Amino acid sequence: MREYFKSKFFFIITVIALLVTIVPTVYAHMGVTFVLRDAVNVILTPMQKVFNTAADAVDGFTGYFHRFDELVEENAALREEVNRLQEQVYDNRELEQMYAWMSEFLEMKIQHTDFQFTKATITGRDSGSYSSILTLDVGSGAGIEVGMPVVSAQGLIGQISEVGHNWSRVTTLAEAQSAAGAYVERSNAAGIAEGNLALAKDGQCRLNYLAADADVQVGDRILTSGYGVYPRGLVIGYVEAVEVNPYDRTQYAVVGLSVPLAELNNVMIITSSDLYAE
Amino acid sequence: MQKQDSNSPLQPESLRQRLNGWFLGISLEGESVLRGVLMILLISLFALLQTTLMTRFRPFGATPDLMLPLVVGIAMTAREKWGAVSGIIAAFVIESLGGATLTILPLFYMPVGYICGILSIHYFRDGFAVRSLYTVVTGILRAVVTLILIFSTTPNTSLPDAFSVAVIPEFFATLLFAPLPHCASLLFRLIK
Repeated sequence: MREYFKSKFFFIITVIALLVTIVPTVYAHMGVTFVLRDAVNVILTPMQKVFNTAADAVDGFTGYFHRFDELVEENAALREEVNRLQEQVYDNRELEQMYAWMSEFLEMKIQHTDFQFTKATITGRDSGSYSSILTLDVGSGAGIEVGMPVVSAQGLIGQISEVGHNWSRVTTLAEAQSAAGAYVERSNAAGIAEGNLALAKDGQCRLNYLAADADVQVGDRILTSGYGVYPRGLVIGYVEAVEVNPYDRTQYAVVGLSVPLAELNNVMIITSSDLYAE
Repeated sequence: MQKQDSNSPLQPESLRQRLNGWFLGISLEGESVLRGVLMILLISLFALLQTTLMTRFRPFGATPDLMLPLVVGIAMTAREKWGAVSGIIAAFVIESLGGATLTILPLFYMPVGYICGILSIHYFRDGFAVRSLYTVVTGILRAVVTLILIFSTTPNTSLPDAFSVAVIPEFFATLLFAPLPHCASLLFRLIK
């Protein structure tokens, strides 16, 4: 056994081992790269890249098994985070909607200083396909009465048709039994805006009883005239078509309502106004 | 080395003769060249595995030392000289790839390869149990080397920390993956 450690081979290999130990260490402390070490890295580093790519794939696969508990915990934490953020998003969206609504409300308040408003939220809609009745979350307890006009920033919606203590119903202008005194803003031509069953589904109504020579054009804005329950100057909509009634030689216009009912969430009830202001 | 005939003119020795008889006893015969190539390939392969895949997988939270069982395996299959040579090369390659500033492993791997080769000739025949025994013993010695490396590079580390974070996990990670380089080293048996 001893002869192994006295052999020339052992002596030389020990010297080499010492050199391989000492030289790179000295070089490293001098801040210089030992040439053989550099050579090893030059050759093997590109292969390391290949192995790393393979390691990425294997890591992704095996990670599912050996990091299962970690992943479960992470998943639970992420779910919680997602729920929290989702709630935050909903809150923010609600705030955004509220802000937009308040801005519109403010605009209307500036335009109609004589109006007293009560805010209401739509809590229900008539499920029938032929009517457009809305349920609001305020009623007689908040001073709401039958006949009060309901508006949004875009214009007239309808009027209160039924009131409970904490709820009320709105019959919109598109309803067949609705009517409002109206006029063409550009030419002052007067008529009666009436709901129509056939037009209601498209969010339209008819402006009837226009004189045969009344100046009405497509695109004209139609406002309430103040005749009836609605105060003057509320926007009803825009003329989409003008027709002549063959029986009584009057004209009528198809008016597209300015308020998209399907998108409404909040409305304003005009609780008091100077009917003939403006 | 053959004795020169006193009457014949003096013939200089070839490089092969010098390498074979002069000091290393490793000839440039085809068999030795093949062994050398295989050794380099295996060392490169396991060095790459150790520095890429194993650094991601980290069994027991540590990177296993694949070079040590490889050197032991080569020593047991190809005997002491190849064990010692592979020890130096493996240590140098892994420390080069790892970017170690303090190089110490050649002084550990080389004797390990040499002694394991000698022991497999004179004491225990190559076999699963013997390889396991050598792997465990060299693993314990490796733990000592790891401790030396830890305390020489980060002296403020406490001994329990060193054991719990590095030494013990590395020992078991090495044992877990040791069969891989041992099996690879059996390729040396194919070279006759």
